[in-house]
Amino acid sequence: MNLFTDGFDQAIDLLLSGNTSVYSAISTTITVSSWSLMISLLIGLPLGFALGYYNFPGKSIVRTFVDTLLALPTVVIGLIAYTMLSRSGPLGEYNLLFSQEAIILGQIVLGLPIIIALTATQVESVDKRLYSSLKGLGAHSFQILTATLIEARFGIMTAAMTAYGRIITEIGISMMVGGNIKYHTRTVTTAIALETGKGEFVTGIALGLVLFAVALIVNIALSMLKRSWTQ
Amino acid sequence: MSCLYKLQNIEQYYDGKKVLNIDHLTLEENQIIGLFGPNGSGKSTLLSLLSFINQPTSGEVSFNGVSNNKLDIDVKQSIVTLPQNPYLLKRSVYDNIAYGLKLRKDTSNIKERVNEALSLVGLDISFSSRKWSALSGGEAQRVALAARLILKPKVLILDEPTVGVDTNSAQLIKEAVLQAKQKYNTTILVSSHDHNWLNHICDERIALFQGELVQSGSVNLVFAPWEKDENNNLVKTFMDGQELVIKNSSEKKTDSVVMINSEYITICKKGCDDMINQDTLMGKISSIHQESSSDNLLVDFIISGVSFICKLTRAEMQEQALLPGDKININIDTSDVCWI
Repeated sequence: MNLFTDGFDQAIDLLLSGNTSVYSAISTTITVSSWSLMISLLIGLPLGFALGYYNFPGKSIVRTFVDTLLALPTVVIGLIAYTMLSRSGPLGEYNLLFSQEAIILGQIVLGLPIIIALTATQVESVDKRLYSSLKGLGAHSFQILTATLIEARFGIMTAAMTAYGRIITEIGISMMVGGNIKYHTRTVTTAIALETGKGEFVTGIALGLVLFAVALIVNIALSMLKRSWTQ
Repeated sequence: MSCLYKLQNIEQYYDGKKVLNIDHLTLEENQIIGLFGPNGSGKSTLLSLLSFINQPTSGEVSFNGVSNNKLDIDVKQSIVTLPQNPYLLKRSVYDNIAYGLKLRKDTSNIKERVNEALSLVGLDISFSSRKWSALSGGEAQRVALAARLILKPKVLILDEPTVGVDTNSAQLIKEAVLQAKQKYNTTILVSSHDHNWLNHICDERIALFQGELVQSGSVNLVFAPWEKDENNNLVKTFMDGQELVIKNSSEKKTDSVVMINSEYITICKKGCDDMINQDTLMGKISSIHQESSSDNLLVDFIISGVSFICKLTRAEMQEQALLPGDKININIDTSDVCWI
C-alpha cells in the first residue's frame, strides 16, 4: 500500500517540481496519441461508415478481418512497423525509425480497426428511417455520411474514447519503433517500463498516476461535450 | 397541363420476386395524385421509382421528357419525399426544417422561411427552438412535412403521411398539401390507406394491386375472404351479418379480389321502395365531395366498417338531400364486376 501512497505523493511532487523528463514524456504521449487518434478518425470514420452502410460482396470477410485486428497485440504491431520502417524495410528510405512519426504510424495501425469496427457498428444501428429521410430530402452520399456520423455522434465518441484509451496506454509500439529516447520518443508508458526495470517502482507508479490523470481529463472533457449536445 | 412523368414497361424485383409491373402510366403536373391499394400492392415501390431514389429493374421512368438515367442532380433535388414514419434529426425543430436548404446551400432569409414553413403546417413559430424529442407524433410528422415544403419542391411525394397521426394533424397536413399545390405549383403524389382523406385531397386516384395498375378513378376493391352460397356464388358477409352476393362468380376462388366501379352502385335515402330488393344493403354516409374532373359528387359510405365510394350527379344529390351521417339503402350491381 505504501507504494501507492508514496507513488501518489511523488506524482504530485514530480508535477509540481516541473521535472523536465516527466513533462517531456507527458508531452510526447499526448502529442503522438492525439495525432494518431486524429488521423485514425480521418481515415476510420469514412471507412467505418462504408462498412456499416453499404452492402458489397465479401463484406462479412472484411468485417471479420477488422474485428480480428482489434485483438492484435501492440508488440506485434510494433514488430511489423519496425520491419516496415527499418533500413531494409519498404519505408526505410524515409528514416522514420525511432521518431515520434514512427510511433504515430504504429498507433494508427492500432487505433484504426477500433474506429472502423465501432463506427460500422454505430452506423448499422442507426435508425434505418434516417437514410430514407435524407435521400427524400435530396442528400447525396457525402451528405448522408456526415449526417449519419453526426446522428451517431455519441456512439462514435465512445469509439474515439476507446481508441484513445488503447493508444495512450500502449507500450509495445512506442518501445519498438520509438526506441524510448529521452526528451524525444520517451512516452509515459515506456518511462514506466524503464523506471520499473531500474527498480524505481514509486516513480513508475507516479508516472502511472499521471497517465491516469491525463486519461481522466480527456474523458471528463468528452463527457462535458456529450452533455452539452444532449441539452 | 403537360405530362410530368411517363413510365413505360416498368418491372421491379426484390429478391427475385416481381413487386411492380406497369406497362404504361403518365402523370400530369400540378395535380394531387393519390395511390391506393392494400399492403404490398407496390405503392411505396412506385413512389421510390418516381422519387428516383431507386431505379427500376427494367423499363424507363422519364421526367419532363428526360430519362431517369439522364436527370441531373438539380432536377432530382426538386423532387422531395416524405417517407412513411419520417426520421427527425436529433437537433432542434429549426435545424430539422432548415436542413434541406443547407444541403442545397440556399441559406438566405433562412429564419423567415423556417417560420413560414412552420405556419404552413399549422405550428407556432415558438416550435422552432424545440428539441426533436419534445414533439408528439402528429407534430413530428408536420415538422417533417415543413422540412419538405420549405424547399418549394416541383414534386412532393408523401408515403402514408397520415399514418399514426391524430385527426387534427391529418387535417392540417391536408391543408398544407393543398396550399403547397396552390402557392408553389407543386405536383403531389400521395399514398394512403385513408380513403376518405385521399378522396378529399386528390385530383386523380390510381389503384394498385399486387404490383399491377388496376384502374384510375373511383373504384372499390373488395378483398377476400369470401364464402360460397347455395348457388356456389361468392358471398361477402359483413360484420353485422349483411351479405354482398357476387353474381356469376361460381368459378371464382374464395381468395379473389373484386373491383366494383363506383358507377355500378346506387344509393337511396328516401322513397326507396322501388329499388329495395333482397340484395339491398344498409350503410351510412361518411363524407361527400366533388369529383375534380367533373361536376359529379363522390359519396363515401360505410357498410359495417367497410368503406365504399359511389358517384352521383348534382341533381341526384339534391333530390335525395344527402348529408354525412345519413343512413342509406345501397344496391350494388355485381353482374359486371372486374376480378383481380
